[in-house]
Amino acid sequence: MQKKCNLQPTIIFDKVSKKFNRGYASDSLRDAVAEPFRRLFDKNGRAGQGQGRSKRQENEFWALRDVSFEVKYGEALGIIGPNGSGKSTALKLLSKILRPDGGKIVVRGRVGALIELAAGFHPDLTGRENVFLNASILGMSKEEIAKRYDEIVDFAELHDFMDTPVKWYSSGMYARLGFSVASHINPEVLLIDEVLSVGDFMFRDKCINKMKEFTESGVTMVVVSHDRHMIEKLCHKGVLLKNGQVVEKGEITYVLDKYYSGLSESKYKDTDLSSRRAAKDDAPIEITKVRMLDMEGNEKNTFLTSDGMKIQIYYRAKDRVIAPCFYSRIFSPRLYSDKGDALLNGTNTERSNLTFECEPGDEGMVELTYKQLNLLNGKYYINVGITPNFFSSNVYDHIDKAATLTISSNIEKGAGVVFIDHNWKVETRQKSQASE
Amino acid sequence: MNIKHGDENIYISTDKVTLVQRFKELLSYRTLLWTLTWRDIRVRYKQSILGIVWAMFIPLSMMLLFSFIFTRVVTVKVDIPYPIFAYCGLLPWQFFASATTAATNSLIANRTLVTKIYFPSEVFPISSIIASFVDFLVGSIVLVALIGYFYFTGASIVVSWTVFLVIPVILVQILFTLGMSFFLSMGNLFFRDVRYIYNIIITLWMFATSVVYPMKVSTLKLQKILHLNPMTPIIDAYRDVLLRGKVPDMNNFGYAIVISLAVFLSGWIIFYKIQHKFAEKV
Repeated sequence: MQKKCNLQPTIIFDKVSKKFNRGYASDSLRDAVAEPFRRLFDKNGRAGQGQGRSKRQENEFWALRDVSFEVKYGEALGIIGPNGSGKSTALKLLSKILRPDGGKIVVRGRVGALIELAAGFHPDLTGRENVFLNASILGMSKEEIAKRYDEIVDFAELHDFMDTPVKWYSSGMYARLGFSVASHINPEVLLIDEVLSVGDFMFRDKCINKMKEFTESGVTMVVVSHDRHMIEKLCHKGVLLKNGQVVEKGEITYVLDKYYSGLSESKYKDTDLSSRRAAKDDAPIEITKVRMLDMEGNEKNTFLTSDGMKIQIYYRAKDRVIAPCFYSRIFSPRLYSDKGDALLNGTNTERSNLTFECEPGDEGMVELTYKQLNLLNGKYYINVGITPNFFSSNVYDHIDKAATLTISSNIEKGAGVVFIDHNWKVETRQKSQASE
Repeated sequence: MNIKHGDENIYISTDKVTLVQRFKELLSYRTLLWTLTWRDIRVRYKQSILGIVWAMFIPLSMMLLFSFIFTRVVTVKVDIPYPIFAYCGLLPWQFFASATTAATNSLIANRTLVTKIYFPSEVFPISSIIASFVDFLVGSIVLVALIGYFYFTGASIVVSWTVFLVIPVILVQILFTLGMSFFLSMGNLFFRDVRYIYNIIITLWMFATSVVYPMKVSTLKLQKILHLNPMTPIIDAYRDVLLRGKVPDMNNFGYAIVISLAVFLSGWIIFYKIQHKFAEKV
């Protein structure tokens, strides 16, 4: 039967579209009852003008639009793209949680999902009870669970904790048990969504190996992740999504290159900030320009590890602002934390005790100097913004990926993301002749 | 929605799902159903000392309360001893009320699962109902004891073969409860107010049903409206088959069967047809 599957694609996404209503959720009856009246009054008030579009329609947006791809039997597909590009929606459509508003999806085989591993856990129940609960949520029968129970516990390495309520578990233990249950369901199609962002890295490697085993044994996979290495390691093919549409598809290395080179091209444009900014029209202060310079003052976007760098943030005040706090944050798109790309360094004017006041109409520039970047080979980007003060969750202005930089470094600087000043030394003991 | 095409397990997003297919799918998730029910029961009684005894204590204490009110404060004429009249109404009513109330919140309470992993969401309201049914079974121990006591002390109750008819009566009540639960849990997902409104309704509903007094006590005009309530013939049927040795009046009980079936089927079909909207709402 599995041989037969070789002939036809296991997953077909045929011109799939999905729309959502953003912001407008009629959770209370009050809103739902008020809505038709509001529409009625709107019509009466502005008769003759372009009417008929309800609040609901205005808030509609397409999370996916005419997305087509196929995954062959035993193949692993990586879906990549920036946040909000529709990756997770695609996965939810595949797992049947959502139904498309247009197009057609075909999935052959038993589907397993590694999505939010611990979603089915109940804190008051023991590890053992939760294994049964979670496995049954994933569609396993009692007999199947009983048969694989020991394997699940072995893989999670939690033998001593199975009779402990999971509320006493650490988040790492939670993730381990969750992954272990989910990876023992014997799926024919496996959907994976950002599951490995928790847990220690030893276990992470174990998980990646387990997933490699899956592909080798003919399981078809679809992976959504920000973790470039994981995608590279697991997937054969890739689809790049942007604003709900397919931008690139093909071999995974090709698609990844397109994505990451696209990041640096499109993000280094200090002229047009409007598309990436968060400032509202009534913000008292806004950023007008961001420049990235070397120590000599030349605009530049490639640096060496030992280089210094300056960031200039130009602003214009529309109102009086007492002590605005400017921040700058360096991120690595190669590293992923549970909050998104990993923050390598964040700094702001308040941390450095720099305070000043702006009067309406004031324009100026704030300069930040990194004496030595100490970053290794790769691409990085910088977000900048202004807040009322250090602790405020309110933002006057924020520019996502205001600048993107490429670092090149020599091999002696080391591997990884940061350069940590170091040197090696040998002490040889004569008898054993061992050297460290 | 997984439909077997020959040997293959294949999902096609544009295919329509029939009631039979849905039932088979639900059946394939029966392990989940039992596990969830077990979880509900475990969690509910885990931190209480009396545990499952509460299932007897709640209808029993209500029976004592109403016995005091309706025999000492005001007198209600009933053909059977009032305590057992009341308990025989309160027990199934308590089952209905607690099952539907728990089911109303069941989808919201499990929203993380509803939005993350696919399976037939009916398992949540259904497991709430099974958990309440367990309470009902525990509470019936008291009912059996009461029947035994009044029977052997020679009170005016008749126990005959009709006690076996209690099984179809329970089934009809479960169908109605299921249907109501499907509507309520969906409703609460789209409008959170449903839960609060239903809390009020269920209290009023009890007094519009022959739970603690027979419907004959109300005025004729009111009776016509109250006749639409399918819970009254169901509760009356319990007393007929258990305490009066009578087959339920098929005029009234037949009406309850039709309504229960209609509510159940329409509720279930709507529920699974719009399940894919749930994840967008919670």
